[in-house]
Amino acid sequence: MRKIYTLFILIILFLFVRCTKNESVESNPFILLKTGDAYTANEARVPVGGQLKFGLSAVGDGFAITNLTIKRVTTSNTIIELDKGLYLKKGGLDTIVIFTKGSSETETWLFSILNENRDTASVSVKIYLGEGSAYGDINYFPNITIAYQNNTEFPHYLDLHSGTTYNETTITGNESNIDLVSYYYLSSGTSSPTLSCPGYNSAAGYYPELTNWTTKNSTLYDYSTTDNDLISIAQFDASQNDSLMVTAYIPNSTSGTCKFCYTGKVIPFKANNGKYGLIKVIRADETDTGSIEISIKIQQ
Amino acid sequence: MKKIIFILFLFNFSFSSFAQSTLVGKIFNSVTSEEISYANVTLNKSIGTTSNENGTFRFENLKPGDYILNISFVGFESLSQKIKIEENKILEFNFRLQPRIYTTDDIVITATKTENYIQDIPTRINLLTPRQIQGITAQTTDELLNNIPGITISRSFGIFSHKSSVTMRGLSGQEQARILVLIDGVPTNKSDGGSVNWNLLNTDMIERIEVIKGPGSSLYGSNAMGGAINIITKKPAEEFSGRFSVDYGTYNTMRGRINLSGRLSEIANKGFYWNLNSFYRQSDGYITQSEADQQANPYIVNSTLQEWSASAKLGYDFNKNNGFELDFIYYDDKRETGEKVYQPDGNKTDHDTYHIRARYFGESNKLTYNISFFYLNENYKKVNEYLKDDYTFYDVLSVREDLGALSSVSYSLNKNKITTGIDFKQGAVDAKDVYYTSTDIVYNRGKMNFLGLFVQDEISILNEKLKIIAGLRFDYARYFDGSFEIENPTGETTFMTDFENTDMQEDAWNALSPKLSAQYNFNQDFRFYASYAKGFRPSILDDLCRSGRMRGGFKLANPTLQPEYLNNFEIGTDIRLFNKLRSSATLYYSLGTDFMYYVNTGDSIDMGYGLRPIYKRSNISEVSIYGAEIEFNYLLNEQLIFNANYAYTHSQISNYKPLSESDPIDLTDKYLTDVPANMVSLSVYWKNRIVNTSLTAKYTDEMWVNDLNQYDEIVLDDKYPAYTTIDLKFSKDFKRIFANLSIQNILDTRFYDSKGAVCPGRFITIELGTKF
Repeated sequence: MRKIYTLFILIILFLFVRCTKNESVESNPFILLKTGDAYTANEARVPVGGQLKFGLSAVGDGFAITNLTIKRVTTSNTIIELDKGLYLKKGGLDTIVIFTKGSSETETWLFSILNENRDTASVSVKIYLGEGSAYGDINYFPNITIAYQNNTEFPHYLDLHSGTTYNETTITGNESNIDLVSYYYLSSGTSSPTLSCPGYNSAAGYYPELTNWTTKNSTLYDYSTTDNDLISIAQFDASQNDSLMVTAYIPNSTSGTCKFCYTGKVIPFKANNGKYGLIKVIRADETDTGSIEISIKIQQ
Repeated sequence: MKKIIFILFLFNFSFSSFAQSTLVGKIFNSVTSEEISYANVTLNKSIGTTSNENGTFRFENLKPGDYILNISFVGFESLSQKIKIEENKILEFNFRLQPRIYTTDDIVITATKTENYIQDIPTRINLLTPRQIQGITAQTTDELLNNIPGITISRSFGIFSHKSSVTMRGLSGQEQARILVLIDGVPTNKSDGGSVNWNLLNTDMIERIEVIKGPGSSLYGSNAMGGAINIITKKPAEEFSGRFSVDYGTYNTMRGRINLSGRLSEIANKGFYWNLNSFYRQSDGYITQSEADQQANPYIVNSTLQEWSASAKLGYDFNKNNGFELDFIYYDDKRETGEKVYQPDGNKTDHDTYHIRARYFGESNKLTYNISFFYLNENYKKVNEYLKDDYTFYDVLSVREDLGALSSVSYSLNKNKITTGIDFKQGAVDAKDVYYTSTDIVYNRGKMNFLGLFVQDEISILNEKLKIIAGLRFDYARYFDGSFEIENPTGETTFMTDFENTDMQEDAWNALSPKLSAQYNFNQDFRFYASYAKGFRPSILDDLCRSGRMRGGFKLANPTLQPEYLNNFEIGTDIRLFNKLRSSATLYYSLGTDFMYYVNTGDSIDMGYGLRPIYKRSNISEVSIYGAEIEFNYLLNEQLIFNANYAYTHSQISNYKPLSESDPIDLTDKYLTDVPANMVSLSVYWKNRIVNTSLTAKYTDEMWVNDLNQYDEIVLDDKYPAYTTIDLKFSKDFKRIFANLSIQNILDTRFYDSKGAVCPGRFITIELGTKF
C-alpha cells in the first residue's frame, strides 16, 4: 500500500513538470493614409519648405501596434524621420504627422507599422518638388531664464511656442502647454546643464509633480548636432525663417533630454506638435541651484 | 672554565645519584592489538619521548614520586594516567589507546576526491554539517554559507533576486565564475556566465556543504580558481520517511515543501533507494529600487516572486561501496523585477532549469572509482519594457547548456593514495534579443569544450603525522562557433552593427595547475599546514561572444580573451584546547595574473542617448590579495555551541596594463569592488527542551562600488556602507510535528547592492510541518 501511495505521488509530481510549446500565429496588421483636403495627397507638388501633412490610420489585427516608422527616401539618401515605439492595444493608431518638404526633386514617404506579433504593414506616397520656396515665419524669444531643480528665483516651466514661463503657482491649469524643463546633474562625473521635457521619465526625478500631470509633452532634442557644434551661434543669429530649423534637425539622434548644454551651444529640437526650432544657450550655470539663460527660434 | 666543568659534573652526579628508577612502556591499539609507533609520551608535561618502531618507550633516571603520564597519537584518544615511581625500580606497563571514533561529520570528499578526515587534509576546509544547517536561518542555499569566514555573498534583495554570487577570499563579489559550485560533485556554474542557480535546491534536501578555500584547479580545473563549494544532498536511510511543511512570512511570502524518501530493501546499503522533493514559493514582494529611482520612474512596482522545483533521485546499492545513482532536478521561476509599463507582468525574468546526473561508484580491493555524467539546461527569458522618449519592449531568450562526464580512480599503495581521472565538459549558449517595438533581433552564440586530466598523490608518512598532497592537472579549453549578429537593425541596435561578427576566430588554451601542500600533526589536537596551489579560469562565453549594453557604456565581445591565473600561498594551523575549544587560523597570499577586467578602449559609441565609452573585457591586471581568517568553535556540550570568526582581506590591483595608449584609465592600486575588508561573525546554537535557539550576528565592512574607486551616482558614495545583520531562529519539535520561527535581519538594516537595489530588511518566517 505504501509503495502504491509513493508511486501515486511520484506520478502527480511529474505531471506538474510542464511542457510548453511556442505557437506562432500569423496576423495581418494594416495601415492607410487618410485622404482629403486637409492632407498632402500622393504625387502632390510641394515647394521646398512647404508643409507635408499626413493622416495615418492603422490597426494591429488583434495585437498591439508597437512601432511607427516614417522614412523620407530620396535619390541620394534615406532619412528616418520617425522611429517610435508604441503600445496601442485598443483602437489602433489614428494620428497626424507634419513634416517639411526638402529640396529633392522626388521624395518617397514610407509609413510602416509593426505589431506585437512582429508582423508589419506599410504604405507610401510620392511627393514632387514644387516651384518657389515656402519657408515659414518664426517666433523669436531672445532671452528667457529657466531655473534648475533647486533654484527658487526663476520659473521652472517653459512653453516653447509662446516663450511663456510658469512657476509652481502659475503652472496649474497650464501643464499641457509646457515643452521644456531644465536641471543640472553630474553625468558619469561630468557636469551637465540639461534640457528635458515633461514627457521624459527622468525629468520626474527632479520635478516629482510631473508624475501627476495628465498631459506631458515630449520635445525631442537633437543631441548629436548639439554635441558636435554643427550649428554655430552666427547661423542661429542670422536665421530669419524656418529653413535652418528644418534642416538642422537630424531625427536619427534625438532624445527627450539633452545633456551638456553649455554656454554657446545651439540645440535643434522638434516640439510635441511637430514644430521645429533652435535653442541658443546664452549662459548655463553649473550648479543645481543655478539657472540657464536661452534664446529661442521656433516655427510659427 | 675548569670551574664550570666541575660544577656541571657535580650537578650531573647529584641528579643521577637521586634518580635511579626507570619507566618502560609499550603502546598498543586497543582494538587490533597492534603496536603503535612514534606516539608522543610525556611525564608531567616536562619531559617527553616517542615510542619506537615496536611501540616501546623508556624513561630513565627518574626521581621517585607521582607523575602524570600522557600519551597521544593521531587518530587515537589521548591517554592520561597517574604513575607512582618508586626508588631504584624498573616499572613496566602496557598502554592501550582507543581509536578515536569519528563521525561522518568529520569526513570530507571534495578536497581530494577521496574520503578523508577533515583534519587530515592540508587545506582550509569549512564544513557545514546537518546539525549546523539545522540551526542556520536561511531561505536559500547560498545563505547557509553566510557565516563561514571569508565568504562574501552578493544577494542583497534576498529571495527576490535570482542571481546571487558566492565568492571568497578577496575575489570580487560580482564574479561567481571564479568559484566552482558543485551539487553532489557535478559542476553547476554555467559556461555562459559562470553563474549558479542558488535557488535550485530545496534546502531540506541538503545533507552537508563542503567549502574548499583556495585554488582547486589541480583537481577541478576551470572555475575552481578561487575555491570550490560542494553541496551534498541527502541519501535515504530508512524504508520510508517524509517531511512536509508550509511557511508564511513577510511580504505575504508563502512556501510549501515536501520530501519523501525510502529504501526498497531492508538490508542496509543494499538495494534500491529513492527520494522525491518539491517546493513552491510565492511572494508579493516589495520595491527594490532606491527612493531616487522611484521618483524618477513612475512605472516602478513591487519585485515579486513565484518559483517551484521538483527533484527525484533513484539509486541502487550493490553493497556499501558500490552503487549507481540517477538524479533529476527541475526548477521554474517567474520574478517580476520592479517596472511595469504595458505588459501584464511588467519586466520579469523566467528560468526553466533542468539538471540530470548519473553516477556510478565502486570499490574493489584498494581501488575506488567514480564516474558521473551530467546535463544542465537553462532556458532563460527576460522581458524588458520601459518608457522614455518612446516605448521599448524586447525579450532576451537564452538557452544555456552544459554537459559532460567526470571520472576518477583512486588506488592505495603503501603510504600513498594515488588518484587520477579525466573530465570532459561542453558549454554552449544560444541567445537572442527579440524587439517588439522595432524589427531588430540580436543573436549571440558560442561554445566551449573543456578536457582535463589530473593526477594526485596523498602521501602519509611518519605514522601519518606528516601528510603531503601533490597534484597536477592539465586542462585544454577550446572556444568555437562564436557569432554576434543583428537582423533588421533599427535605431535600437544600429550602433552595434560595426561589431557584427558571424565567424568569430576559434581559440584554444592549455593550462597546468599544480598543487603542493603538506601538514604536520604534532598531536591530535595541533596541526600546521602550508600549501601552494595555482588556479586558472578561461573566460565565460558571455564575454567572448556577446556585445551589448552594460552599466555606464557598451560592452564589446572579445573572442581573443586568454585565461586568468591565481597563485595562492597559505599557511594554517588548527588547535584544540580543553577538548572543547577548536580554533583555526589561516594566512594567505594570492597573486592573480592576466586578470580579466573591463577596460575602456578609448572609443565611444552613441547608443541612442549620446556618446558612451566602449569597454572590452581584457587580460590587463595583476591583482594582489592577502588576508587572514580566524575561527573559534566552542562546544560547551552537545547542546550548546558557540562560533566566532573573523576574516580580513586586502584586494588590490597591483599592476594595470592599459589596452591601448588611448586608454585614459589607470587602475593600478585600485581596490577590487564588492570585497569587504573585514567580516566578523558570531553565532550560538542552543539545543534545549523548551525551544531550540540559534542567534547569528554578522558584520560586513564597507566595499568599493566601482573599479575606479570613485563616487557613484546611484549609490551616492564611493563605498557601500558597512552593515550588521542579526538573525534569530527558534525551533521546536512535538513528536512528529515541528515548528520554526526565523527572523532575519532583526535590526532591519537596509543595504544596497551594486545595481542600487535595496535589501528586504527584516524578514520573519513562521513554519509548521510534520515528519513521518
